[in-house]
Amino acid sequence: MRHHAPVVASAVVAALGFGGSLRAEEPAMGKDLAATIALQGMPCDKVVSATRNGDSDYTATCRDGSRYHVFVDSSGRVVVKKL
Amino acid sequence: MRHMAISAISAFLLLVGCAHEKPVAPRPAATPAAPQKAGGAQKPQTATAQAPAAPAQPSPAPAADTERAPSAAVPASGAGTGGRAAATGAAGATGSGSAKTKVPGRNESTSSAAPQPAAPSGAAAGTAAGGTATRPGASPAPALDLPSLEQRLRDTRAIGVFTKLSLKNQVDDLLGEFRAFHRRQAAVTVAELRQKYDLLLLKVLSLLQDGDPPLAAAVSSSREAIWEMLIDPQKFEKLARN
Repeated sequence: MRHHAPVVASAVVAALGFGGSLRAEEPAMGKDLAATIALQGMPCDKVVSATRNGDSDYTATCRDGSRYHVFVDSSGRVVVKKL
Repeated sequence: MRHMAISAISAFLLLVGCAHEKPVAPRPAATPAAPQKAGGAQKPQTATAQAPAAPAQPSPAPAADTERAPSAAVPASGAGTGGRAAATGAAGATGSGSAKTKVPGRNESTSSAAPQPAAPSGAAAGTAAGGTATRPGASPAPALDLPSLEQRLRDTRAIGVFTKLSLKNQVDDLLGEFRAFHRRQAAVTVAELRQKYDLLLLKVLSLLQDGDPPLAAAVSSSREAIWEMLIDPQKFEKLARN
């Protein structure tokens, strides 16, 4: 069991690192979301993390801790809701 | 013998004092009398006055460096802290030295202040250039190529997809307001429309100015032409049809 522990730990770390977050893979998405939030007149200096909920549907967390639900509604409008 | 010795020492001191002051006299060209009056009684003051004057002069004036260099070196080595202390006094005493140090500062401040007013006036990333380019007559009319501008906005990578969609929503909203204005269905004034138009254009420019400066310049230079197209009912109808 002790031999397997490092492997399991590294797998967990890898899973945490790649799981559901846009931090590493798409920094441009964070900028896009931040600009979108700002365009709607809501404060967001920088998006530190974003989770993709679905197609054109994200939950963004800003540097100040505020969270926003950014999505495109059925009529094609971008909607930003503060969570 | 004592009297002789005292008189000899005083004479020697006087000689040393005069010999020390001689290089000081030519430096402050405007007020040579002040250090001479100071004489032997105020030797420290003249020494401190020399300290700031001497370093200030050799750098701008290459002439007579050979004479001033040693006299400048002596007070600098002799009064390391005195030089700093004298700097406060020298600001008032040696006007030439202080002026020499202040003049570049003034030039810098004026040169830095000069672009500052220019920046806010053209705060919208070259709007100043764009504004001057659009206003004088015929050049802006051919410059406005709305389809290509639209295509460039679609293609630019400076704005993300979400942001583009959000901007498109806002453009559509504004076009709806213009439509209502021309049909006299809305109680919105031209000034309000202009304000909204400017705000939206500023948003676009702020998004473009870092990532796609040429497109930002093109948009800002087309600002007035687009406005004229929007505010003119006939042109707006044409635009709406297309």
